[in-house]
Amino acid sequence: MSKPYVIRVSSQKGGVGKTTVSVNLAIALSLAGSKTLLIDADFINPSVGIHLGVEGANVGVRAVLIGKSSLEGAVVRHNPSGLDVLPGEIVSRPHNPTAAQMQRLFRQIFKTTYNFVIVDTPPGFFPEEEFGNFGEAIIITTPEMSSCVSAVRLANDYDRTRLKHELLINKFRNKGYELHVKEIEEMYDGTILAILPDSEIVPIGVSERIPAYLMNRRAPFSSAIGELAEKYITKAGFEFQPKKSNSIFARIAAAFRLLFGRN
Amino acid sequence: MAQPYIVRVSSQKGGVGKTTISVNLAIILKQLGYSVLLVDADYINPVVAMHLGLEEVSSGFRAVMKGRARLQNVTTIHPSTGLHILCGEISQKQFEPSYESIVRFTRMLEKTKYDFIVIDTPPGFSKEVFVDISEALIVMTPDMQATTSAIRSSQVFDKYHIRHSLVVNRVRSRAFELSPREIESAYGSRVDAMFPEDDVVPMSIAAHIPAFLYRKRSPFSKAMLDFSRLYSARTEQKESGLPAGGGFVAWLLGLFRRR
Repeated sequence: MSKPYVIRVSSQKGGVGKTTVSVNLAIALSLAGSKTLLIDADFINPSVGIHLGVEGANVGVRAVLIGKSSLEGAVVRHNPSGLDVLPGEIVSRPHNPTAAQMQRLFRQIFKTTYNFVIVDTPPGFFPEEEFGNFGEAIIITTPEMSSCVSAVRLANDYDRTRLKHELLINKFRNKGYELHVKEIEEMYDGTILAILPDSEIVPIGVSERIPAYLMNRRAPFSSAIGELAEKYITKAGFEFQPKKSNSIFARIAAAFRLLFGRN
Repeated sequence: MAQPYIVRVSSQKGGVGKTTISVNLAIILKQLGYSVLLVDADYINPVVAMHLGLEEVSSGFRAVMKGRARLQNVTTIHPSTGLHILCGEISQKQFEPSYESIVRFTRMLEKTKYDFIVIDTPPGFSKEVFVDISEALIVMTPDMQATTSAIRSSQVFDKYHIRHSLVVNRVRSRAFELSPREIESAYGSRVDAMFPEDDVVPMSIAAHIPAFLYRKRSPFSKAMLDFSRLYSARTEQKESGLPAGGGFVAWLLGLFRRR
């Protein structure tokens, strides 16, 4: 049995779209047929619950970290996508996990049968001694100077701890005042994993508590997420049967098949 | 003599516009005739210098926090406005100031002669939230995630009796956003200002000139000016009014004066 493929979604600057990318990528992977776990490890501001409409978790990642709950006991199923979620508890007192707690959580995760584990992190650097060298990282940036500079700094941090990382540009509007993809590529000194367009379906999705990828799969943002999910599935070497589409055409086709007895 | 009025700009969620608002508030207060210090206390991701087009510094906020430098020796002066800035050092080493050093730093700021001190902070809560200052300015965007974190911040500030106000940034007045009324009823108190989403902000950051200096008449700059004027009531010092100029007439006059 193979170990789960762990993807840490990170950025040093806040508000670039870590949670949006984590949630939508996890849903796309899950809908593509892989067994996926999404962990809300943003201890500063857990908001995966808001994005998915699973709110008010009393038991979540903290409970697992301090050993109050088992991993299976704290995982919640997101029914529309079949995604498993380890939510973050909303507490007024911030608490940072110790290195030992983090290591234990990941040892538990490696014993599971998940194909993919997506970890949403707080803004900033999760040092090696706390998080361990688990999986690989997606560094999220927006096409502007301040977030690119901090992305490059984070990339340097990861290089020092020998963690594999790739860069994703989010909220791309293709405007003159933005940085060009080439410029960002040069600053980062590596290839760019994906470019996600700035799209209103993201804030609309959050306000409706339905992730953008589920709301409209044909929107440019969603198709870019879908491609990203495919990229990871190929990379991990998994083969899946995608779940049947439940669009109106598929349903009509299914009804016809039933009616005329053709298979 | 009166103590400086210290405003700490904070939010639990990142990317809501803390630095943009800190920089423009400080610039406008300076333009209104006050003596102002802007502190880049965002030790996770210091970008104030980038917003203002200043060079990176080798000693700044961290050096002062660690007691390795004196404030007056490491403040940078913004060339076109004369605003004083304590920049953050860009360093590979992770750094988190201790509670004691933050208290010491705040007491030191209180002894300075500035009218206003604006502090830009990293996202989230660290020990600094428990240090008493004049006002915590909570910045949020009109969405659910930012609202819940703003409410959490305000609860902490209430608990420690720190005066706090709330501004909503990047308002687009779209149906999927939370309305000011929804935010007020969730937050339980008044929204002090709303700043519109404005292309001038990313453009000005790309040009390394604060939005207020980049285009004074843009919707964001106007809202920022109205908001900054509220602070005049919070100090005994009188404002001297914005410096004239910027318009076509001033440009013409300038041409004549040069002759």
